[in-house]
Amino acid sequence: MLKLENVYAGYGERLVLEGINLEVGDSEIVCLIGANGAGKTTTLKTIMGLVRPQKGQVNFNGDMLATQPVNRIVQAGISMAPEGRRVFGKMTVLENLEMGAYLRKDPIGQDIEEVYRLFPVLKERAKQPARVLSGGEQQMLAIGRALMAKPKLLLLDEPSMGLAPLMVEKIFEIIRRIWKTGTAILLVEQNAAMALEVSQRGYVMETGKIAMEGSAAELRRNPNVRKAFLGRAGERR
Amino acid sequence: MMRKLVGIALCGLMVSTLFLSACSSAPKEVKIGLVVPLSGGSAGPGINLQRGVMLAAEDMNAKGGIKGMQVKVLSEDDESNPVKTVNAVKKLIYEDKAVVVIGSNASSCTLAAMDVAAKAKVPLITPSSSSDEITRQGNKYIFRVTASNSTQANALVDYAVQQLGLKKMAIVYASDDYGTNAKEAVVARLATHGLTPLAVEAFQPKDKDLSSQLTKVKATGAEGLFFLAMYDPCALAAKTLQQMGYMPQIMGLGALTNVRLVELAGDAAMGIINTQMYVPEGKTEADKAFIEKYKAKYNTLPDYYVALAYDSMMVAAKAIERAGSLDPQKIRDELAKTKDHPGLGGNLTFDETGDVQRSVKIVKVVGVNPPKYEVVWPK
Amino acid sequence: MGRSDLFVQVVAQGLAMGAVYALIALGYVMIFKAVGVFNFAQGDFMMAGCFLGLWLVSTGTIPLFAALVLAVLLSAALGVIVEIVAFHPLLESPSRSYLMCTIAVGIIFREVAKMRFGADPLRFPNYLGHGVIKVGGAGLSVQYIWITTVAAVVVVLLLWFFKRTKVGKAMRAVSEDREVARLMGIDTDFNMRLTYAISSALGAMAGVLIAPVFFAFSEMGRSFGLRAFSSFVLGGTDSIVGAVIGGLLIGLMENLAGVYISTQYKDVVSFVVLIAVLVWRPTGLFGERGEQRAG
Repeated sequence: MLKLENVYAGYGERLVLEGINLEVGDSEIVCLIGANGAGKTTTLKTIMGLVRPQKGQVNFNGDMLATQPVNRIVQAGISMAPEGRRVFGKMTVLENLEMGAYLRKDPIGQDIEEVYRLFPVLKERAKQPARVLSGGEQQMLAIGRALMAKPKLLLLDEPSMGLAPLMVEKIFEIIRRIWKTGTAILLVEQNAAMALEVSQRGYVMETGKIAMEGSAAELRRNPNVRKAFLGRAGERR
Repeated sequence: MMRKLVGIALCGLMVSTLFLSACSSAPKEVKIGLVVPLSGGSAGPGINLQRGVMLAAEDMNAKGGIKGMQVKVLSEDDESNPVKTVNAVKKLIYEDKAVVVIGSNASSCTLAAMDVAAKAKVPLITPSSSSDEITRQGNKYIFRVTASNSTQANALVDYAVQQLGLKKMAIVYASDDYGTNAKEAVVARLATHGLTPLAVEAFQPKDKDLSSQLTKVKATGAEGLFFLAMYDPCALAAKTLQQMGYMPQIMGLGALTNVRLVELAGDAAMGIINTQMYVPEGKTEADKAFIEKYKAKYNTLPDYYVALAYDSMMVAAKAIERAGSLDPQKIRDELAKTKDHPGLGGNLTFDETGDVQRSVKIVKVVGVNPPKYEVVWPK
Repeated sequence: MGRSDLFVQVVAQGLAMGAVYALIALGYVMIFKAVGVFNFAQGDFMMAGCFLGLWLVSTGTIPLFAALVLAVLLSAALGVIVEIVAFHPLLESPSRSYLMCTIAVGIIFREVAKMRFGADPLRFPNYLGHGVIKVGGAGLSVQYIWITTVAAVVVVLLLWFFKRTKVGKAMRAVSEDREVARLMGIDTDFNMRLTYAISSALGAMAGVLIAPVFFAFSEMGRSFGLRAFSSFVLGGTDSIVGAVIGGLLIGLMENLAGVYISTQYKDVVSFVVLIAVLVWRPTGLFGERGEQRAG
């Protein structure tokens, strides 16, 4: 479905990605783990077209995305819940969801109901401005908003960041449910243990390069991964 | 080698300069300085003043100049800024060697430049500055061709009280030298009729909204409003009053008779009266010729600025002729003796302060499209 | 005219002027929300709209009202062109560069107007009539009633636009977070142009509304723009309702102060109130984020 081939990208003079090769298959869930500053978020932004690759290709079902504007990429079927949630705080929950469906011309009522079924709390708060929501609720809204575009591939950037453990469990449960409906997911996470648990495959990034890749089970067993990312959490399991 | 060449070139240049200057000074000419606003907000009056002076100079030169000497007018722009007026007058006197300076328009500018003229002992003739202060300072080198604010105020107030029968009066004035002085003159004359204005309101010359001032005037129910400022704010005031559905008799001192007042205010300008030194009526032969020439050249009727400037130039020319000399001191002494000079708007006589003794007309806006005026006083 | 009549007169005039300030202030709000920068050329967009109207009317080939509508539309187009040529290249630059650019654009507008139309005020056709409605002893001018009505209609339309239409909502989204708005598939460049189109159209509307009373002159953007800027700051810089309330308050205050205190102090009073409000509430009456730059 998605294939990054030898992608180089960065901000101005500063190169962040130095030859990324990455693949997400149809209805696959893949995670991308790595230390802070390894280039995980930049990878997602490059896929979305927010950052332009200087070299390499982003192939999505045969579409070459590297030179297309963001709205064409969204239309092609990729959407993203950004790091830090970044909901539109002054707009209502419902308006946030409507923005997620901005490019769609078909009726969206049913999809809003779908999101409400996934996140019942959003229905209760539909008319409230998004800034009054709790962190977990805002994360749900960010994911719901991304789902409103009816993506074939959903990019999630640190969905568990800053959330209480109970809420983290809940979010991952929902991620699993979304994947089961047939949406492919590329997940960027600090919480490598959780990420490897829900994912089928994973990539490990180190300073702009893919250092390792493999099935989630392989990576969980890999001593280097255990040492660097799983730490006590990994040993406990 | 190089140095030698430069030396020769320089010598050649010097010789030719000497030769040229000797040539140009051969026919004697009379240099008259002119300082008026030619750009900025007051450029309108300034340009007309310049045209009047130029027209008079052309007339003189066509008749052979002053005692055979051609008149040359040197113009400077002061942008209605007193600092620039002072600098311009200094330049005209010390660099250009003008023997008489005509200018400026705004009272503030003329007041600032007067001392420079006195120090240099060169006469300064202001065609249109009407503040009383100008001739109250004991300056022996200043002469004024327009009637002072008090002369105009006396005529206007008398007309309003005696002919129009107005009793309830209000004043709105610009808080500059002209407006403040005009206000004092009107208040003083009203007092001689036993009247006190019901409202006296000031505004900054730059104000673009006069509704507060005019609302206060409306609240007093005044029948007559003395509007003592230039024509642009008066047009705004007339419009604003029309907005309020309140139409007092608007009266002004000199500054309001400008076509632009009517152009800007439209029918709100109807009925405004204003003192005036000159109206292009063509009642005398000299006036007829003046109007003809002006129309031929500029395709419009001359206004009072043109006439005042024309008269200023002519008064100066006559004084130079009588003095028979280009000594500014002698010219000043002859200027001071000017008596019953037949000006375009009536006879001019300078008193011992340099102020003019002349008649004042009162004109009324009676038509808007095209603008039309009628002299309502003297009848 | 009695005391209560005077009061009615003053309040009516204050509200009419306030409505004009509010229209201009709305333009400031739109740009501030979108870019996080004060658009110091806003008043000059108003002047430009006014002269465009005057120019179209003077051609004599277009009916008056069509000319005025066309002037507002052309001003919107002018806003778009200026955004593309002057402002867009600076979008990612420090906000001080953007700010300086708005000042420069304002100066260029004024100088061009001066070259083309001169420095003197010009008469603007009085298309609103000058009827006066008597309310007791007070006279309420039809023009002022029109100005206030048009401003009120525009504000309601604008609020509806932002609350109910997809494009309006997208503009709010862009003003909150430009990058995430792009993730939604919103064309933020188009949005920015639309923002400039609307804000300069608002200015032009204010311009053609007041010109019949106050004439058209090249410096009008500065004299009215300054009051509108105060309204915008008083209202809280990022609130539409705030700009409207701020404009009405400034209009009322300067008229009340001018009549009941002294005309010499009318500006002083509004600025003292403005400063007092900012000390008490640094974000202005309805502001939420004060003066930080939008994301």
